Amino acid sequence: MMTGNNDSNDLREREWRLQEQARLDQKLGVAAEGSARALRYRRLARELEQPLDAALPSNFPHAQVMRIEAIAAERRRADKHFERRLRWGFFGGYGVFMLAGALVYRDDNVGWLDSRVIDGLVSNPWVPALLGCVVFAYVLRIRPRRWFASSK
Amino acid sequence: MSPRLAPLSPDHMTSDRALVEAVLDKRPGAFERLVGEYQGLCWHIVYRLVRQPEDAQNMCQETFLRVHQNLHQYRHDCPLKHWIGRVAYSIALRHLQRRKIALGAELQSDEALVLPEDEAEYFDYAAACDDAQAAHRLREAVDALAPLPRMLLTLYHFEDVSIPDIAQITALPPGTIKSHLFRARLRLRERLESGDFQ
Repeated sequence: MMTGNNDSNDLREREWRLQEQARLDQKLGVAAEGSARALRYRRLARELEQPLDAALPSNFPHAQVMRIEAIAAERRRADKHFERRLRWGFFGGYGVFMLAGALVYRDDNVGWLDSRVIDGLVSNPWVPALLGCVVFAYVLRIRPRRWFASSK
Repeated sequence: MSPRLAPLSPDHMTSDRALVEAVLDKRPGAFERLVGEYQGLCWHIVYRLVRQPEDAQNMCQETFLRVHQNLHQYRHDCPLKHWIGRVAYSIALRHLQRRKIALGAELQSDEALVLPEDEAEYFDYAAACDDAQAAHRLREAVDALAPLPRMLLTLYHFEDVSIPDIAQITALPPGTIKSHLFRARLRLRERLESGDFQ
């Protein structure tokens, strides 16, 4: 049994050497000669050195650079939009906060603020509605684009 | 299972390091040079695995996009060629898994392998080289191999990548790679012994 395994290993080892010799001979351009088996491996080695039937386009590296630059530019543009909206959102929120602060001061009868101005703003229902619309519009404009960008 | 990293040759280190630093410094033309240098390897890995030119081209694009995004993570602990090859291989592998295409990585026991004897004692090498029809059929036989052995043959013969280097790219043990090469070449030799090539 042991002898059988050894014989089989020897055969495989010999076959592997034939395959490797054919590959090396083909690389070195040595003349093809030897047994029919060696010549078949040599023919195979020759075939495996042939270019594939399809290739990347010749301008692939340049196109790849263009593509990456376009992606980076799009990302920069999206970041800039987002930053601008965030800034406006922040200032809008800040304005609302200031107005709320002013109302609290007025209700607590803080004397330094002219209550007529606050009363004028609050008594007009269009002012808080307009403020709410502005904040809502910013929130709506930011979110769908961000969802869209993350789902791509 | 990840094979041990091969030591770098000084040439590899200097050229890879210079190229990577140039790309990270955003020097003009650096990334284009990197793509130009490694697109062949990437194409051979991906195209041999997936066989569809359009899919393969998209995957090459994805490979270099990922290389560009993650190059700062490259630690110079292996040649850049292996690092890029691994990215390409993993992308193509995921594509095959998604499409449920068998990679052909399973090896039967060596005991089951029967070495064929030469049936024909004579083989006309010159005629076999000149026969375009026979060459076409041999190419078809190569294409009919499972994706993994097909890719291994191309890396080993065409790209001239050594077995330890292929092990780095594919994370397969060198013995497994050797076994795939051996069996694939044996099968193709059998095809050459068939009537088509006499």
